[in-house]
Amino acid sequence: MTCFAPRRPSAPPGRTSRFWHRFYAYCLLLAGAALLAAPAPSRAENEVVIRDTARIQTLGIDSKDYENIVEQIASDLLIRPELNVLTNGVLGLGPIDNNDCPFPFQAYDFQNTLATRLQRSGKLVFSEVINNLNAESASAAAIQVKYFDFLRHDPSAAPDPELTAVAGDLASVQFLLFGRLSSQTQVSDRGDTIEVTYRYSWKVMDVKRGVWIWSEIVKLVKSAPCNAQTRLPWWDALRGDSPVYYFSPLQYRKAGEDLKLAEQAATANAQADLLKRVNQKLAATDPNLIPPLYPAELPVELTPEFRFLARGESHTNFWLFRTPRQPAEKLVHDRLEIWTNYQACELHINAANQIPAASARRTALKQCLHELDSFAARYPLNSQPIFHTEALLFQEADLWTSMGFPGRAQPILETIAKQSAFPDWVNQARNRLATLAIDPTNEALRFALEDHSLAIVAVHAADGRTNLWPELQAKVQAQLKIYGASNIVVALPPAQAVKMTLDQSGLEPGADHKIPDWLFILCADGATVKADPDVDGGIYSFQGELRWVILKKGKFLAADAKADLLFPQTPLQQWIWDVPAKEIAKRYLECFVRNLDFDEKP
Amino acid sequence: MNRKIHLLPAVLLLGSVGLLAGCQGPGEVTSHSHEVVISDQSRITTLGFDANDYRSIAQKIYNSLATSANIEPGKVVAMGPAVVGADQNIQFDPVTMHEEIATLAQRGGIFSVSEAIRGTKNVSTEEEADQFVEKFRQQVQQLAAAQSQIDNPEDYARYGQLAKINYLLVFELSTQSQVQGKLTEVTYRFNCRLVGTQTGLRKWVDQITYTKSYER
Repeated sequence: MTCFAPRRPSAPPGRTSRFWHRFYAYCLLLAGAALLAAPAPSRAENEVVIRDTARIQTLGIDSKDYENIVEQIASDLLIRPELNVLTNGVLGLGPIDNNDCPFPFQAYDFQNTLATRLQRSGKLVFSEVINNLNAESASAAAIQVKYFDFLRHDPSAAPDPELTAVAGDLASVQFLLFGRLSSQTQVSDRGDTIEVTYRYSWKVMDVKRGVWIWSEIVKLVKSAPCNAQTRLPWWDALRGDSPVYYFSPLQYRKAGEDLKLAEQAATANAQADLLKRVNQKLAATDPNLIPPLYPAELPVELTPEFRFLARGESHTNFWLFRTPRQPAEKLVHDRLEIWTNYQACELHINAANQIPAASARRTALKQCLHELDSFAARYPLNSQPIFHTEALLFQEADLWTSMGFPGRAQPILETIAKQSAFPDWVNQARNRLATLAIDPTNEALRFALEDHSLAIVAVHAADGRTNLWPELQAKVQAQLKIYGASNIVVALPPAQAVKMTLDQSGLEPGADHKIPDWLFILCADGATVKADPDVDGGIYSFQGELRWVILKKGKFLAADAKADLLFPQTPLQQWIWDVPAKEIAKRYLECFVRNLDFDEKP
Repeated sequence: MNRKIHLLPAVLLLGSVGLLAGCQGPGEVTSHSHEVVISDQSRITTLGFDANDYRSIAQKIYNSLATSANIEPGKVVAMGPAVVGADQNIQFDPVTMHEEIATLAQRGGIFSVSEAIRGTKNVSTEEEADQFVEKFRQQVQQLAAAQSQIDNPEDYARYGQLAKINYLLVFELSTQSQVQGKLTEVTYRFNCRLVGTQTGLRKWVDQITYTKSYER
């Protein structure tokens, strides 16, 4: 039998009883005192305790730090002489740069707490509207503030009426409160203490001049014994993304894992996570059709602090990676734009193919080709094949071929072939193309001239022998028709043409002449034109300078300075004696093609 | 029965002692999993460029600027470029150094600090460093040129009324490590200069050397 109470058989029964009574009384007093000394709520696990301030202090940035730092920064600002400048204006809230700090930090909350503290002093006023807490930098935030300022003074400059309404009568913001939070983690040489130094660098900037009005740095050093627990991350929540970076989840080294392999795995995991997050923006639109970003397109880097922490012997167990936001968002934007354009092009081509009239259909398809062409120029195939760019290029090559321009399809297919995701398709298309005859000059002329009205004008008959001119003109006209220029509306004889005023700003037609789309002017200005009767078919000889001028819709498009520019390999004197008229016309046209602005829409 | 009743005070006694040991005053700081000590100065000094070094070096640069740069009142200085040619194994944050110097200068009133432009870069050769400094100076000049050609709201917001930047505060950091027996020594060398943005002349130059040693 176990005896809990002392037993003294020699003592009289009365004394024993008194002892126990006193003992009970002491115990009850002690228990009562303990209960009074304890905080009001009990320590029961499921009971909530309400306080004004937090009691838990960690190595991370905890709620007490917010209060302390806000107080220190605000106190400094409110006693500095610079305050006199700030009391004359309105302050806006700018961003907090915490890109290099791996610890979670509630920037928005901190800025608002600080602003509240400062405004309650009765000396400063903050704007509720013109703030830019999510700007990439303080100068970017200032630009936004100044933009509003400009709109207030000149509402007509607003690209959007809504923006004018927003700017309206808002108070002008002259100053911007912004800051930077950085940290440095150190471990003592013995490895028994870990220490984190937080540096809160806060400034107020004059928005217009871009210079600091006030600045202060508050440091907070937190240290703790270093043990297995502190070597692991001591924060529960991971830091969020910043306006400049996407941050990956923290990567851990598994027990017993080789360091190098662990780091490689950590990098791959972080990249995979970031890719998944970025690609979700694409998946939300169309998961099956928009190709996701590839790992090579999204490089990741260790946050600066972890770059050095990772080298210490005791801190190789975890890594935090990040990737710059702006390039990633640009890639996503491009993907979405490619997809949108792809859909639009497809719709346009389908619609064009439905047009019953052949000429109208052809014009519409040409419009689609321009669309595809300009689109492909904006998004060249890069190192990673992008499905839709390639599909669009295929589309373009097909369209060119079906419209009788295989020469234009050829370079497109060659481009795709270099880095295609579908090499078999490309080879098949190339083989089909190889069976077709390709004449690039012919194609270029046809593309430029078909469906256009065109005029051939002789400004001057060189030797006054006008009887030679109609023949030359007829040959040129015939050649032009071959290339589809069927609508030749003006063919002026030299006697009339010479009345026109020709200069580089345009051509003034006679009252009864309509201006065609294209004017192709052959001009043997001041030259002698002779027929050679010994040669069958007629050979014209020119002495002097040949000139040509091309005008489009009355606007000067191109002209040569001297005739020998037409034939750079052949001096004028060598060819003028033995070139037949047809050849001259063809060469003129080739030159015409070389100088055409092909970016012009038909 | 009486003996069983005797258990009660023992339990109460133990409970109250436990309760007293567990409760603390409302003002005391308790750590989550370990004891956290808070101060405003770092207590750990390492061979690397640690938390204590930024202010110390910044103070030296500031003192030199304040006593020998003779900067006219009202001049505006852009922070940059900071060129770090140091050993890549040494953690050094040029932006923090910029902020330390700029804050001291702003509070001391020796010049105004521009936020319009700043630059930092890790370089591996002196030539690369020189090129970066010159490129940065040209960027500042371009900024000034852009101010005279404002013709839309975006340009106004970007350049309008910005204070003219008179000088650039350039600093370059290089390091040298030496080991002799148990003694390891690292020397940090800061080459600092104030460069006129228009003339390209060095208005003020100084070199600050900082050596840290450690014996195993």
